[in-house]
Amino acid sequence: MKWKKLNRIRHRDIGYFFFGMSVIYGISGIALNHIDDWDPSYNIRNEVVQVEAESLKPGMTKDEVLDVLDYLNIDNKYKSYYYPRTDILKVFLKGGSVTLSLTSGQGNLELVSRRSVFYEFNFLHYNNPKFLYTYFADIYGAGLIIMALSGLFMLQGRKGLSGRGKWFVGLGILIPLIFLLFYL
Amino acid sequence: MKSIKFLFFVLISLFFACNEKSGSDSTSAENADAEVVETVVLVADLMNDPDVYVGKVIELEGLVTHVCKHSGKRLHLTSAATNEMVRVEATGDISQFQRELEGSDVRITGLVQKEVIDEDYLSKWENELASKGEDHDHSEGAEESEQISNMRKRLEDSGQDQLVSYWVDGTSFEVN
Repeated sequence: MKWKKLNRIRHRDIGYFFFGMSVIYGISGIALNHIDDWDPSYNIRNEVVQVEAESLKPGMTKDEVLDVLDYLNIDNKYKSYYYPRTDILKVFLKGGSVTLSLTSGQGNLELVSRRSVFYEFNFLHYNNPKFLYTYFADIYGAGLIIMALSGLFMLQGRKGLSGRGKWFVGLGILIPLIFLLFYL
Repeated sequence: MKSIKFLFFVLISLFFACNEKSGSDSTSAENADAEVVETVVLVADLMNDPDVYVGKVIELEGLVTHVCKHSGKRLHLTSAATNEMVRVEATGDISQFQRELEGSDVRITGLVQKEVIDEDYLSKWENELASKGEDHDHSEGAEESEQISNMRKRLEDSGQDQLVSYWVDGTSFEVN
């Protein structure tokens, strides 16, 4: 029958076309699901650092701050600095920050770098490009629905929707319903 | 062949859909009606007399000292000179603030908002947080709980019935 052939072709070609988007959303979806356990977009490394407390004071100049960074072997990364509290100096770096206690000289160096692939995928998942991408992502969503519906009618008989297919479809609908029942 | 035509139709639809202007953005609509302050405002100026700017669109300059780690939906804009800080929310054309903005001097265009905080407001916030339960992001939830505690303490310390909070709904920004 003609509609079956059309259905198969449509399912196949939409699948081809949205292969890239499916991988992007699949990977970033898993990454963002576990946002409590890790930062899905950035690698973060913390190190305890120590400088001479005498080298720190309120109202430091940029040169004095650069001397402190030099002492910590942090070169060419300076961005800016401020005092979040009267006894704390925070220096922003390209790729992190260093926070130092004026009283003890002890502090924390936080180094931040983008997680390759994940950063880019999450960037798209959060719809940061906006504008054109919003429409493309909407069409991808519609494409998924078309693929889901056309997928139901790909096969007939024992392996089709009227056979084993109905159990899989039923189970796939039932599982989210159970979660809604217990957690909503 | 028909399927390729279908995909072609989808792409053409995409092209035309993108050329239509959306009028549903409430922030943009709100901003369109708001008075625009022509001069650039520094964080210290804003916080010195915030009521002057409430309900107006301003271009605000300051140092980004914090970007929300989880959502990227808000940042803290600080005056490095006076240490005064104002919260900026990502609205309009801004989906997220990237973490790399921390430590950068930026100019943000946005609408100045005001909120009055009293015991009733804090109780409602607590109930809302509690109702989010375990589905809510734990660290973000802990951060909000701490904010509530801090605000309640500030309210008690102030000896007043209410605290007034100001923030900016940012719609666009540029790094200086």
